[in-house]
Amino acid sequence: MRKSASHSGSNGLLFVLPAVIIIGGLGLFVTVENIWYSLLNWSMLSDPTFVLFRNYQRFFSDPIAVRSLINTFVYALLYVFPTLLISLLIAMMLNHKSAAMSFFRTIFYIPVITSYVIVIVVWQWFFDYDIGLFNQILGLVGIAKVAWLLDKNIALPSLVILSIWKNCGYSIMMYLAGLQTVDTDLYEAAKIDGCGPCAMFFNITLPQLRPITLLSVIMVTTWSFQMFVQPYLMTQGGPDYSTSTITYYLYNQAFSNYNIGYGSAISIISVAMFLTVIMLEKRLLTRKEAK
Amino acid sequence: MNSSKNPKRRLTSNLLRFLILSALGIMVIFPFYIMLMESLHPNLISLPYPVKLLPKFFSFSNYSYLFKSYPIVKWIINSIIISIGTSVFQIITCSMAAFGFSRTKFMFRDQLYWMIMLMLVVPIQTRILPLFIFMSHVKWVNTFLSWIPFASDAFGIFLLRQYMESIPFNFDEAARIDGAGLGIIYLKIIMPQITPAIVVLLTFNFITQWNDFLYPLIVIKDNSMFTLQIGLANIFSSAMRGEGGGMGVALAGSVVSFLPTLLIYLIFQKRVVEGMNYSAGIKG
Repeated sequence: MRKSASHSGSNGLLFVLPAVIIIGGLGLFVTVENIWYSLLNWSMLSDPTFVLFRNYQRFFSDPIAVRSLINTFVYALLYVFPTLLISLLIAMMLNHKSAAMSFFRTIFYIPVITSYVIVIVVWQWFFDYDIGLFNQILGLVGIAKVAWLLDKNIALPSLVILSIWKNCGYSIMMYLAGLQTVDTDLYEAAKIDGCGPCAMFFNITLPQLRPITLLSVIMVTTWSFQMFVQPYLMTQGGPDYSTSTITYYLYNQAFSNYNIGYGSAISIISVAMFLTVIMLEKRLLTRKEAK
Repeated sequence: MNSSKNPKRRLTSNLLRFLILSALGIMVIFPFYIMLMESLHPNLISLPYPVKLLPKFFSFSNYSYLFKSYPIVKWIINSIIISIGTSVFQIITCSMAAFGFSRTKFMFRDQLYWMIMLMLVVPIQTRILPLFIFMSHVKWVNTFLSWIPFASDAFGIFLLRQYMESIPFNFDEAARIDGAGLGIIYLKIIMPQITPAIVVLLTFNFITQWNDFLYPLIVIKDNSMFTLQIGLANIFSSAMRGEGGGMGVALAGSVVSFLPTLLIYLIFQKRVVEGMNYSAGIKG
């Protein structure tokens, strides 16, 4: 059926050509080029020389590079569970048709469409040690001040709090869309079998939302591996490299120190890690579904 | 469930839900409220201590400082050119490609399609370095030409193709019998039917480009070519050092840069959310 309706001939190629040239040339080709660069010792000031895997060896013996990679993982781990929990709870509260609920939906999504720079201008003050809002609130309750961005053990979790605030709306909307598709007949059946609301949630709602949970987990992973503006503007990767993430380190090596070859290697390692993590997540969250 | 049997209990649970959501809603809105209020606070060097919910005086002095001391109008125009420009090019190239991939047949069609879809899994970090080197080479750094890589997008092609697949083939079959060529079918039959998808792509790309930070940071060095986000980041950094008119000016800049995305979101809310959800769905 479809074949007879398709138009044959080479005219079709003309339609895809602009996109193929742009995406092929400045997307795919450039990505392959990046792999080639990662095999070079090239610092912009000197001519490139071929060094095979030396940049990769350098990465794993560079404590700051490894630290940045670990920070990225820690950030993603701290980020993902609260996001899932909070957004699922809020989505379930919002899952009613009324004007008030659609108003709240609109509100919760606003941070998602806001740029990080804007958010940071205000949040930098929230986190400020002397005059920050958070420490003012803690002071009212009589709790000692917290060095949100100045303590190397707290700085990264602080940035996680900011990210959760900013991006929860995203997962809320996805869970809301997912809740619409939950099969309500199953609730009736479960009620007849004498299931309580708690059992229903864990046995019916949660399993059916698993694909959405997977998507949220993947998005959080993506954001973690791309996280850049917060360390760049708020902490400069400090204190003591505790908020240096992989993309921030890549930027520093490539665009502050002009280590092109090394920067390319960092980006390749970052993407390899990213894709591995996503594959693991997919396997983990879809295997359970088969059970 | 249980609560529906008992109207009184249902009322309390509804009220409780409303209160919790209101508290959370205030937490979400509060930073924006502070941004707006304190941007009207004259001579604000740093944000207030102790916090006040209403500033004592209202004035637009931060805004007038912002527009007098920084080329912010130029930055706004730059951001608009980049956000609208890439969107328009994407709509053209992606809809054409989607049409080609879903409505025509040619050699290696499916191979080409999957090659492009490969780009969906490759994050931007793998491209910024070689793109920067390429842009320096052809002397496109510091110009709008640096955004040519964003003139087409695998996500857009995927999105529009999905929509096109849902249009029955007898539509173009009928037009073909009437003697319409591919160009006419694309323009007159397919394009009018995918307007919702085009709005999704337009709003999604506009917001993405408007808020983007890393790419303009790399390809733009010239103050007059800054995008609004980069300019704002510079104002913020000066304010942190106690220079450049203080934090009030940074907040005024935030308000200016926030309004366009807010407006687009409020007008096209459904499409914006659809685009965002779609972009996640693709990765899964």
